[in-house]
Amino acid sequence: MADDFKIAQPKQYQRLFLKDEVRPDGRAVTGCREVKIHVNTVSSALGSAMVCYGNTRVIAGVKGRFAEPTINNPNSGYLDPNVMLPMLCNTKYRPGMPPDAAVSMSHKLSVLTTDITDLMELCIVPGKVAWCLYVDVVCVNDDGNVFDAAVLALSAALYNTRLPATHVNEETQLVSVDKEGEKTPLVMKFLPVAVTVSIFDGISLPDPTESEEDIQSGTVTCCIDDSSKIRALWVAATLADDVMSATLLYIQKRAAVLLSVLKKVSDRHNTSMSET
Amino acid sequence: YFIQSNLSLKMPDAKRNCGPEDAIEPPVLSKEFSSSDKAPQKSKTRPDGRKWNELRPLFMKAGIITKAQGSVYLEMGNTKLIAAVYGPKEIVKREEFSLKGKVFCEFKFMPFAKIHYCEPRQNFEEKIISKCICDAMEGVILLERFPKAQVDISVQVIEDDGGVLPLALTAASVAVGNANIEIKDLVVGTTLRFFDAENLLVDPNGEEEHGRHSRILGGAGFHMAILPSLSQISYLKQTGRIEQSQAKDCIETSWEACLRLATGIKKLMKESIEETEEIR
Repeated sequence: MADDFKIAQPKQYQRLFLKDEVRPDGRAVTGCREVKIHVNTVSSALGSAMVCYGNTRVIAGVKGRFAEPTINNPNSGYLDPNVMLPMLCNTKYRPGMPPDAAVSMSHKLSVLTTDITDLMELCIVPGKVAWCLYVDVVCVNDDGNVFDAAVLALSAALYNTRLPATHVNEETQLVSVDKEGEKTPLVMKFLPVAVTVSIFDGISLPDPTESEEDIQSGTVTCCIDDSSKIRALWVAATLADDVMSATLLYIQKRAAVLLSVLKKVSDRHNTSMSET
Repeated sequence: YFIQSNLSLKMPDAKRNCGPEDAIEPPVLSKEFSSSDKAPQKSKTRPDGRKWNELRPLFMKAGIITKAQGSVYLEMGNTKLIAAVYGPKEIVKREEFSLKGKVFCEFKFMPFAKIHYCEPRQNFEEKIISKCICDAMEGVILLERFPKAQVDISVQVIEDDGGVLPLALTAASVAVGNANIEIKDLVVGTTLRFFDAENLLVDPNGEEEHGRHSRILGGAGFHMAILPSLSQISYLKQTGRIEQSQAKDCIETSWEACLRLATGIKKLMKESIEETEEIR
C-alpha cells in the first residue's frame, strides 16, 4: 500500500513524512546516513577505498602508468579522476557511453583535484617520463548522493596511495618499476570532502536517497578541505538567503565529522571505521 | 630515455577525463628466471599454503544491490566480483519480438582490477567474455517463461587474482537465481592450470595463472563450467597446448573441483534465502 502511494504520488509521500519531522527512511530531517570507509580493499591498485553512504556504495582505485610530460609542463605528471556509473548500480543506466550524471561528476572531480597533489612530485625523469595516475571511482550501488561518496572515496584512495619505487637503467635508459623497493606515499596538499544537500519545498535535506533525488527541486554541493576552506561550491537551486547560510553552516559541521573519520582510516592503521 | 610507444589508435573520448594518449604500463624490474625455478608439483604445497587441488576460500553475499532484482558479491581468495541481474523487463528494442525471452550480458573489468590499467570502455576481450556469459546463461534460463521480455546481467570484476572467467559465470548464475528467474541449474566453474601430467594446479591465483613464472614454463590453462545437477558441461575454454590423452584428465579434475565448489555455493545460497525469510 505504502509502496503504491510512493510510486503514484512521491512528493505527497515525502511531505507526509516531513510533517512529522522525519525522513522516509527514519532519519531526522537534517540527519545523514551511516558512512563506512574501508581502505586498501583492492590489492591490484596503488591505493583504493570503498565508501558506503547507507546503501550507496562506491569503490575508488588508483592506477599508475608512465607518460611523457607535456612540452608546457615538462616537470609534471598527470592525475585523471573519473566516475563510472555502470549498468550494475541502477536501472536507469545502460551500457555504452557514460551517462550525463557520470560525465558531470567526472568533470566536477577534475575541477576539485586540479591542485590536490604536487604534480612535480609525479615526475620521474624531467621532460621524459612521469607518472600518470588514474583515479577511477566506480559506483556499485546507487541509492542517491553518489557524488559525496565519490569524493570521499577519492580522498581516501589518494591518501592511501603508495607509489612504487622507480629505477632508471643507465645503459638502456629504460625506466622501470621496482616492485620490491620502498613505496612512497602520495603527498596530498589538501583532503577534500563533499556534502550535498537537496532542497525540497524550501527545506534542506542533507544526503538525499535516490527517491529523494528524483523529487528534489535543487541541490547545494559544497566541497570542504581539511583546513576548513571551501574548495568548490555548486548551487543548482533557488534558495532564500537565510536557508543558504544555514545550509552552509551545516555543511561545514558535517564536513568536519567526515574528515575526522577519514583521517582515522589510513594505511598506517589499515582498518575500517564507521561513523554516523 | 625512451618509452615504448603504444601503437593502438585510440578514439578521443570527450565524455571522460582521459589521460595522455601515449601512456604505457610501467615496465617491471624483476629478477632473472633461474633454472632452479621448477614447475609446481602435486606433492608440494603452493606458496599460499594450498594443496594442488584445493580451492581458495569462497565468500558470497547475495542481494546487495538495492535496485537489482538479483545480485551477488563473490570473493574467491583475492578475486572479487559483483554481479547484478535486472529483469525480466520489457524488451528495449521493440522490433525484436520473439516468443522467448532475451538475455543481455555485460562483463567489465573495473579500471583498477588487473595489474595493468583497464580502459573504461569495453575492449575486445571483455566483449568476448560478455558473449560467453550470455551464451551460457541462455542455455540455463527458461526463456519461454518470459516472452517479449529481456533479462540484463551485468558482471563487474573488482579485482582479478586468477580464475575470473568461470567465476564470472558462477556469479551470473547465482545472481539470476537470486532474482527468482527460473533456471535449469546453476552454472559453476573453476580454472585449472596444467603444466604436465604430474603437475596440475586447481584454482590458480593471479601469480600462478598469468605470472612470469607461469608464462615461461608453458603448459595450458583450462577454464570449465558445468551444470552440477544435470551433469553437463556448460562452458569450456583451453589456452595453450596439451596432448589429447591429457585433456581427459584435465576435464575430470576440473569437473571434480566444480562439484566441490557447487556444494559450497548451494549451501551459501540456501543460507542467504533463509536469512531473507527471517527478515520477512
